[in-house]
Amino acid sequence: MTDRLSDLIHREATDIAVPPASTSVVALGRRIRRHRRVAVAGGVVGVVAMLTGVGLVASQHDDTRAIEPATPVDVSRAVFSVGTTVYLDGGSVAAPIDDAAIKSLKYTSLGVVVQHGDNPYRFGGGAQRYSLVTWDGRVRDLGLSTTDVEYATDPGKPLLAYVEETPQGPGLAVVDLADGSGSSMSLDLDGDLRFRAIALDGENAYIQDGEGVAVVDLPSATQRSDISARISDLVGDSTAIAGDVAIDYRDESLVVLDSGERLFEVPDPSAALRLSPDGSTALLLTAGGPTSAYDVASGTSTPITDADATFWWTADGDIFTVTDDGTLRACDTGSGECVRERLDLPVLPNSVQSDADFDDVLNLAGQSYES
Amino acid sequence: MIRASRPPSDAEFASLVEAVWPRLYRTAYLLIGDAGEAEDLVQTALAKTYASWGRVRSVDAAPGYAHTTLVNTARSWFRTKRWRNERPTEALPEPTSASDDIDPSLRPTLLAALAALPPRQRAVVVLRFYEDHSVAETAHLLGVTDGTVKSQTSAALTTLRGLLGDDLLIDSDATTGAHHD
Repeated sequence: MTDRLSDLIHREATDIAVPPASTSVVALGRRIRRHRRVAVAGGVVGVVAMLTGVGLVASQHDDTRAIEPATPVDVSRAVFSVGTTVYLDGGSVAAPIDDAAIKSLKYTSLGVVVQHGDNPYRFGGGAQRYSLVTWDGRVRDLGLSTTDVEYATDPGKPLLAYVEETPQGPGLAVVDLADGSGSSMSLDLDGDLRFRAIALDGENAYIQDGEGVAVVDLPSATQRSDISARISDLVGDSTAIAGDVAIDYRDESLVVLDSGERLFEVPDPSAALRLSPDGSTALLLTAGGPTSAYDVASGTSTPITDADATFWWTADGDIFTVTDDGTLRACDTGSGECVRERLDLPVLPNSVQSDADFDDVLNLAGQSYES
Repeated sequence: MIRASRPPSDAEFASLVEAVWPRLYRTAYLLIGDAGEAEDLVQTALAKTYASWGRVRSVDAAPGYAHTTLVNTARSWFRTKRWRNERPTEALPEPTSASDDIDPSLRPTLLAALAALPPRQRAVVVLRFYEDHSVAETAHLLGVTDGTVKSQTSAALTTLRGLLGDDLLIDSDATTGAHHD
């Protein structure tokens, strides 16, 4: 039955003058995506769609260029390592690292940054050395060595950053992975805990200083004390940041950094949130209960019945894990659909880590983004 | 290895924008009550859809994704301080208990009356009576309970009756979701 109010709204809505489609949709969409998505390996194809007049007119490239890796389950941006071999593209590309052990893997737009050294221990394990493994499997030694630092990468940019001690105090070192160039800026940080670079996103670096979050504007190489104070108030000193959202670990809530809006809190104390490297998705893990994926853009949740706490992120915000028998399990966080595939790995991962032998230590790239 | 099906292209996104822009704009205008803000809302929702394009299951599902994103974005806007504060609205006649006596020529338009409602009540009315969503669907879209949708509907209709007159509106069944469930 159609009532009078419905009729009236439809009549008056019909008379609303509709302006031409905005010419900024694609540009704005790309800006959002740059904040939270990995660029296409080997260089991003330029702008291919232009809005004109009342609609959109696509360029000559549009018919072939895909916007994103997509459905049903795409593991082309799932990266893991077993021992000292890094596996990309769903395990089909292997890249050996010339060192004793791999400590962690983090996504960038060019591939993954590999932190490696004499053992798999990220802290207290001596020298931390770094290599870049590009999406096609090429390995480049970054010629960088640190000790006991937490580094950050941006899944949408070719950058690596970490906090270093300098004669003038703490400084933020930023390495451009594209050409190997680096820069360092002095930081004014408080707190008595180890400074950690926790996130790089767009033009911001986020540093946890023991008392809160310090925000550094990378183009101007300046600290943003105003934003730092606001974000610290929002999320405290224990947070994970990606894209334009953060997890406040004090109450396990998901917070929009710009507005301060709390999108949701976990339903019970045993539940936990994980934020994807690109900030597009949050995973809600409940003890003994269902796992679900929250799409930050649409605010919708998707149950993922086949996932558990062993799953971590692909660069695109889907989830995957590798089991001890060498099976890749991956789930699409948009649809909840999951797949399994037995990989042909020369060494199977062992979830029970041995101090004496690091050959079977498993690292999942998306895991490294959690604080 | 596990491979993906072909992702949607930019050309398909362009077609989506052309197809959904008018409907999304009208919904946004009804939700917001301001042409510039409505355009910003649609643009933001479509940009978010573009940024998440690879997560859209199929091109056929894209309009629904864009619509859900628009409502979610509007909901987010409503929670900000700017929207919690009173927003100026067109001058409206004072609500009256004897609304049947209002000279029809002096009645405000429904759009103007909608602008007098608080954001959440306005959203409930738009989603239920323009988008034709059920109580449950509206509750899901707004992230509230069915009971909240019904109470917000009831409050909104009371205000609209006062402004527009009983004869322009529906009977009380609307608050129970009888028509739109």
